[in-house]
Amino acid sequence: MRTWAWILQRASGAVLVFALGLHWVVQHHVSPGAEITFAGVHLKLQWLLYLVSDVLLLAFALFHGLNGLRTVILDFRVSPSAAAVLTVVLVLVGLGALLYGVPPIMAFLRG
Amino acid sequence: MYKPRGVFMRNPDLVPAYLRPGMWGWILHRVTGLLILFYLLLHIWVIGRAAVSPQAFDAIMVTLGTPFWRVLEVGLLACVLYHGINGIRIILFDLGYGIRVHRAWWYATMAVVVVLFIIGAVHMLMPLFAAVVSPAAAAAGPASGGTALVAGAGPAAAALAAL
Repeated sequence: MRTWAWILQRASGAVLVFALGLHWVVQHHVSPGAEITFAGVHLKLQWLLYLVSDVLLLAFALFHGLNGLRTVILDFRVSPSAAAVLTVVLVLVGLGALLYGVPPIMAFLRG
Repeated sequence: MYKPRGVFMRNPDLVPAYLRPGMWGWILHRVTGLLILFYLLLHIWVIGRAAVSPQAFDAIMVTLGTPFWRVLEVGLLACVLYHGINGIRIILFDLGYGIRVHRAWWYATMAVVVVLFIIGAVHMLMPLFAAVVSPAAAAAGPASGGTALVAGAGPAAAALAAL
């Protein structure tokens, strides 16, 4: 589990550099971009690559962030049972945030 | 010298005797990571609440365009730039590249972060300065300074619309 947590943290981090870079550039620097509007986001999400990268960004960022938080907490040498509870809680938080985060993207997509 | 206290007593690796550049790099990576996670959860929540209708979303975006939130967003840029670029350094170390020159690499990382941050921060805060220097001009054109950095913004939007 520790090895996988480590490898997946690196892999998701590498993906995030690109997905987040694209997210930032598209949201702030691609016209209509001076002001972010619902209509503008709707238009941008029609671009399939951006839609896919935004959904991946949501999933990978949640994994990377929560797995990172787990690493930080485990560095304080918590007991194995506490670590197990922590893992379950973080998985639930991640799944909850994912389920909360996908419908808005679909709402923008529909317009 | 400082003495480890509380939960920091649990792991001696967390409290080295001296804070060298590599340790500062590690601390900054953790702090920025936690701040970005906090922002991410807030971002998902705010966008989820805002996306209920175009009117609600656009109203929240106007609020987030005010100076207070713009300045916070510049802080987010600093955290993300550092965490991302230092993250690339960490991945390269794990692959076995650059460990012998890790200190030089740390300074190079900071240099790249600072340069990109200054470019990004100036660009993000430009509309605010424009509003202070010339309120009338800023009010007349909401796009003033906003899209100036990317010269190809117009064609890019056209290409986007075509897709």
